[in-house]
Amino acid sequence: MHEIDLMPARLAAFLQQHRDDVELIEVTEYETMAGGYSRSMAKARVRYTSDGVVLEETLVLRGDPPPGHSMLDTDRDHEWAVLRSLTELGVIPIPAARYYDETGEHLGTKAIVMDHVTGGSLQSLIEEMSDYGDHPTRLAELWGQIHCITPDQLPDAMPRPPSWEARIDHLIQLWRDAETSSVNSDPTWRYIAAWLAANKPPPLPLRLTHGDPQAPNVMIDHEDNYLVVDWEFASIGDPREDLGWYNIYSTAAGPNLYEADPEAFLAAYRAVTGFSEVEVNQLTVGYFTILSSMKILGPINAQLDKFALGENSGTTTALQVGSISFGHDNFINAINGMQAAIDAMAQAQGATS
Amino acid sequence: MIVLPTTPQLLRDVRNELAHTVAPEVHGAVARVALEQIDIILEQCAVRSADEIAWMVEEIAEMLAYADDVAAATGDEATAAALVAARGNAAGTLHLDDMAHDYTLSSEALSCAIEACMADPDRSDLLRRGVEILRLRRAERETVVRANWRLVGRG
Repeated sequence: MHEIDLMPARLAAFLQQHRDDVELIEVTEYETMAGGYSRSMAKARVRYTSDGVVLEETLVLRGDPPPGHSMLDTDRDHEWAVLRSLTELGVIPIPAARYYDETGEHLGTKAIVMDHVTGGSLQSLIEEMSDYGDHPTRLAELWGQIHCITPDQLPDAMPRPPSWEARIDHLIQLWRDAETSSVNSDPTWRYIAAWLAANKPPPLPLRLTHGDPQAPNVMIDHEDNYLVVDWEFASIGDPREDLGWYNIYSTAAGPNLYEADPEAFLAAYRAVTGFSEVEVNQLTVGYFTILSSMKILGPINAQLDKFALGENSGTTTALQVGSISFGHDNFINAINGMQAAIDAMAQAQGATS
Repeated sequence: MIVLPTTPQLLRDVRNELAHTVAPEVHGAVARVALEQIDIILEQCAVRSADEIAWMVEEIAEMLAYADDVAAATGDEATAAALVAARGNAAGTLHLDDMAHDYTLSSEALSCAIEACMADPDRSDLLRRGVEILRLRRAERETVVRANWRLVGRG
């Protein structure tokens, strides 16, 4: 994917292997795409000719960046397995995943070939809006749809936490491990880990989580349907992990459709999932806004460590120093606010008992 | 050594040149995103280079003083050990690499001290003081260093 001049011929040959029903496959246009932060993305115009009939379509390629230029490392095999599983389930709207070069021998890097969505992303749409209309409700319902998928519907290869408690403890441990292994000593992360361990919320059943739910990962097709992309962080976890990550990401790169009206957003979400208000409320979302962030901040920080050690480079990676510090600022203030709310509730309970 | 113009002045001049001379000639979407990212990083470097040595000196003193108080009040062994390491292994110069090394050691002492206070319900006042160092000193300065940061090139 990184040798652009070679890609039209390479891609055509790769597609031909999967389409022996087509006489001739030509890639007439190939261009890299901006917007794929963690992966290399490209768009290709493909022409199929058989018995004098010509058909054309656009495909998207999603592959690993060149070595030493990755903002974070994720597993294409895992992403492909999740995509295949979701395609078979047919419950979550996603662009169809077509083919996978699992070794990189054909496309130059491990790469997934998928349908191109003609519309833009939800992010590009709502950035231009002053009134978000029904998008907050639709987005809450979309996250809810994902969280209705139970572990038994997912590939065996996806790790299953033994219990909710074990999942939460694992996520808290990610904070400690990321700090311990980093070139920087980070007292904020250590404080966060201790606070999270002391303030666990009520449990929820474990479900499919997207792992990186954000408006840029929701495409809108020409019929106004939402399609969810970028499943590289998908796992089995507490559904509120996704609500929390959506909240912090959208605070950093808004608009934040949850923050616009949290109660309405959560009511729409609860209506789809059947979760209770005790389990899903602003306080528990606040907890998971912090807790789940390390799933992505950890890998990002690991790449920044490599940068500091001279093993990685690139402006996209360098820019992530801001992501880490943005997290510090927001998490410390969020904990202050949540601790005040917890103390007030405890005081009120003490007064009534 | 020619100290004027300062490093921030030079970096901001590069930003200006990129924005007004180079950017108008760049039309590819990927390259334009890279230029925007470079602009942000240059401004962050300008802000950091102006103050980071002074800030680290101040913060190291503050972190060690706080950890001293926690160690005295709680007898926490991890905090005491981190303090010994921070003082015993400090490079003690103003060179940037040395300062970063010393800052890391002092940060470990601060971490241990806060954890000791978290584990002891009777130390809520000391805990509050530690959290204020994180919030009002570190986080606020990091906010200044973020400067014009934003996640350009997404979506």
